[in-house]
Amino acid sequence: MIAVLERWVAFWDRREAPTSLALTRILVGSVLLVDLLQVKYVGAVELLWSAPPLGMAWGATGELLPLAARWPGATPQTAEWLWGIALVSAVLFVLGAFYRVAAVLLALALGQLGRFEPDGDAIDQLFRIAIPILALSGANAACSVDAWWRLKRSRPYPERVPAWPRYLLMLQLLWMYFSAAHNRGDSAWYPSGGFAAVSNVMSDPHFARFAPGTFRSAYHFTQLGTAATMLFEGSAPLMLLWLWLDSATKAETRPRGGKLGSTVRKLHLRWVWMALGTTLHLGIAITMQLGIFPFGMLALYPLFVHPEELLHARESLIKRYSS
Amino acid sequence: MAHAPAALRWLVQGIPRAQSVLLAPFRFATRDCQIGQRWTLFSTTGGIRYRLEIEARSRRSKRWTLLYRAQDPEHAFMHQLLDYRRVRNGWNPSRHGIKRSYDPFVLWLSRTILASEPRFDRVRSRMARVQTLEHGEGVSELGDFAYEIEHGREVLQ
Repeated sequence: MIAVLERWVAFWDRREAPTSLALTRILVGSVLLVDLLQVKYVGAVELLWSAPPLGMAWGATGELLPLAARWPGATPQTAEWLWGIALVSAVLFVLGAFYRVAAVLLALALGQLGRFEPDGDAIDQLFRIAIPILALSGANAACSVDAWWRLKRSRPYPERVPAWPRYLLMLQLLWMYFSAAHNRGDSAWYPSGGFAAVSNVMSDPHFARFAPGTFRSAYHFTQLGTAATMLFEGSAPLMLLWLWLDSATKAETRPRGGKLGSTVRKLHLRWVWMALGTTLHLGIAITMQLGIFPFGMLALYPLFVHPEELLHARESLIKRYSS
Repeated sequence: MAHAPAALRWLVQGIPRAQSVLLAPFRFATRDCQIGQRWTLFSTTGGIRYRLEIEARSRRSKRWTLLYRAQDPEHAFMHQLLDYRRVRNGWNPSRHGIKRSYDPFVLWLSRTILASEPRFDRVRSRMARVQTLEHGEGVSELGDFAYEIEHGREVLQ
């Protein structure tokens, strides 16, 4: 029993280069920043986060008020302040400047904005989970103002940071996909409903980017898209297996999983799964109006890539371009 | 469910109760941080869908003018704001029906339109019901409306 516990602790106490987390920090922060700027551009700050009748923030009414609604009050000024705090902290978050303070402030601001606007969509909820975890991580130990400043003062960050935030965020993302798959009771997602779901969504006047019926000649492709979506999301837990089997390809470790492991590595199943996800999200971005959702999801994909692989890819690119 | 064996019924009905007890210490996360772990993304599609319409009535002629209709480039009043995903989340009905933010959204929109356009005396918001057609053929209008709310100039008081 103690041995199991020790292995459990050792697993969560692993260290690795901060590259994957840093890239995730930059991408997630950038997507969020664009979204916050868009709120201002379309003039929705007051509407979204002020109490009725000055806005539609029903979360700021009733008994369980968000902290900012109790003080200073659910007014348009508070909405502007909260948006401003979120924007400035998102900029610092992307740059990795005053990282810990900025990330905590960003998490608090997003939490408050979510309380004002409880009808937010899945990507808002995912970011409310991801940003506090990133705040606790060493995502600022690379590609950041903090890392540059520490290096300048001859006090660089350690080369390896805790890997648990990456593992936890990976689990979160995989669970999100799997949960989405098994919460679908609509037969249109299954063979019995003719795999019509993607086509149906592309015809929904509130989500379709193109006029309903535009893709009638490509209906079979949309059926394929529905089946691929269910296969991709339903197989998300298998990604843990692909990751485990694919993580021991380094020379110093014994290849894992015997025949299965070598097949998985040969077929590059981890990369195939990620490529399928990327294709589906890009397809969503092109054909549906879902705002930052597809980009926010893709911003978390660097988590699936081990930092050593990213560093190796960077070195290969540098070598290729310098030669 | 009524025909299921008693033991199975007890088990199936007991699981949500057990889940509720086990999750009680973490309820603050859902309540205070607006997070949860049940992800429902397009869990229902097709069938009856909606199309938001915003209209305003002329003070003189009493005729209604269509200002905005979802996915209609010819009636695109304030479309950048209304189509923005966070705002759309507020007015787009979910599988459980209309959301709590719909009423305050319509009130805000009516006030904004009536305050900036003195030629109008009433604003109404409603959802045209449409039927999703099979094989990607698009949608057909059913000719009726749901979730209609109308406001007059009294909302400016």
